Amino acid sequence: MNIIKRVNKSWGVILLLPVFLMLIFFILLPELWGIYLSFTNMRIGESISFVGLSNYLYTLTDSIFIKAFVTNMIFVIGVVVLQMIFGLFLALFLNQKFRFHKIWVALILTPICITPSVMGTIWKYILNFHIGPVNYIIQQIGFPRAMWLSGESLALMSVILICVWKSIPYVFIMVYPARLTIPEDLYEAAKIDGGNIVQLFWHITFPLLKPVLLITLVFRAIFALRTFGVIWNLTEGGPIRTTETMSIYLYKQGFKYWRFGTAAAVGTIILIITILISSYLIKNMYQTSFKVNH
Amino acid sequence: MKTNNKIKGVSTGSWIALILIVLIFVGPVFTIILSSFKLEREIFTYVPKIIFNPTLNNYQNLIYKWPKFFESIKNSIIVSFFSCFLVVLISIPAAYSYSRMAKRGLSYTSIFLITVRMFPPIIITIPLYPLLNRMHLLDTSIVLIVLYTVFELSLITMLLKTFIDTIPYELEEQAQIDGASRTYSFIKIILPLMMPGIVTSIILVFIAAWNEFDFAYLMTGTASKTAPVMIAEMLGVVGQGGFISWGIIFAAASVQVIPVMLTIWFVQKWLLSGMQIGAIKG
Repeated sequence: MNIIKRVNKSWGVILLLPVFLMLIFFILLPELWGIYLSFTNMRIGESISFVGLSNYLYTLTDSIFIKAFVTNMIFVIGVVVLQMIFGLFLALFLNQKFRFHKIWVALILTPICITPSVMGTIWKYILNFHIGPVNYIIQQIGFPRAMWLSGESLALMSVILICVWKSIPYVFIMVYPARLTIPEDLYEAAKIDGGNIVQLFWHITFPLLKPVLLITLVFRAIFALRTFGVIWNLTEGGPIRTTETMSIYLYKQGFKYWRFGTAAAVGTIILIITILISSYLIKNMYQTSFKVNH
Repeated sequence: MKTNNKIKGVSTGSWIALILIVLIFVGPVFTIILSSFKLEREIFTYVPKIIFNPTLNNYQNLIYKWPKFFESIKNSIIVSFFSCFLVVLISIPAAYSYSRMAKRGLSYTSIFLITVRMFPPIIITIPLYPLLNRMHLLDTSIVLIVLYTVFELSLITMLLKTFIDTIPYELEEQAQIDGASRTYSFIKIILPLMMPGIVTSIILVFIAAWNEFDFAYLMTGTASKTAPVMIAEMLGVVGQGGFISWGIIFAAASVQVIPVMLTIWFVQKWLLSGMQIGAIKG
């Protein structure tokens, strides 16, 4: 009686073909081609010649790239750690029985709908040295006005905090539904045994949310690593390259100096770091879920 | 977690904290939207003006001085519309195959979908740029439509698969026993039941395409520029003389942001489940 299984098996493959062909032709092959270009001295309008590792040697010995790499790592760690902590806190906080809680959740998701250039508009105005509301408030409290985005000492911190603001809702989206699936009985039982809020968190909430938190961590780290638009619209990597990350270095090499080979090498380095981040954490994730199951 | 047994409901302290948190997330955006209805001199007052006479002055200036902005909005609409259409069209058969046909071997290929999604998109701009240049395809909407489609395909395929998974086999089997063809039973039974999934997909792809910046910035010139790139350009000009003012940019930003913001608010419930599935599975 099993009609569905009887159906020609090749249809299963044929229906998948369009997706796979598109992914192979427009993502996989260009990515591989990009990696190949990192071993050439490609420039627009010139023939390509193979140059071995010289793009990598150039990049890895370029002090500007080293600085961009370090900035990028500070950026990723800062943005990811802060958004995970605040996002987790927010998800647990919203788990209280607030009235109209759907409205609050909807409002908190607002940063998700903001494109990088509008991010730039909003924060360049709010943090503006002369007319920004933040400097106004700070001066009212009695502190001097600060150059949030145009000062060397504060720019990276400001950019990190702005990206955290944008990213918290994404962590919230992952953690909030996961928290709802933890049965309240667990907490009731633990409370009867005299557990306080901190103990409840470390012994019930955190272990049960750990798989979701790890997946979120991997994806958020990968996305933070490649951030381009928001930083570009806020500072263009300045002042004096203090907010220049690898993506911005890549953009300048490729689309300002037309050194496509070097840009491709930087892209490949970003790809390698992406693979390192995801493989390590995904392996970790599987081990954790294995332990939980036994 | 903090539900107190003695007092049902939430403490005043929590309410105050909630209002502050919501203000942090909404405040900056609202500031821009409210300021877009202020006169230029009111935006520049040192003491921020909370009460003011709303005016459409900035919007009028945007229309008269920056007609290019509305062309970019038109481009954004075209790109977003076709991306949604193509993604859904190509994903539905694949999702159906994963849910109903792909057993064992074939279902492992979904790992490929997940892996591809993790690749940094910026790498592919390097080989693509010279190629499109030679094919005279740079600065066309087609390039953006194809790129947005391929980068959303894997997520939407996995999303739609989970929706089809929830539809019982028996419904389809029954129809086929009654003599309906597989295609007919798909169109009459599966398609209507997976409508919520399709709507969720369209919203996710629309927001992604409407807001995408990196590809649009690199791949478009004057003809096919989308709204996010146009706003970035306007932002680059601000401060360099009286050519453009904050007020006009605020108006442009509001026009770009408000449709998406309303969408997110009204379909929040669908988005929560959709985005979570997307983020985990692809």
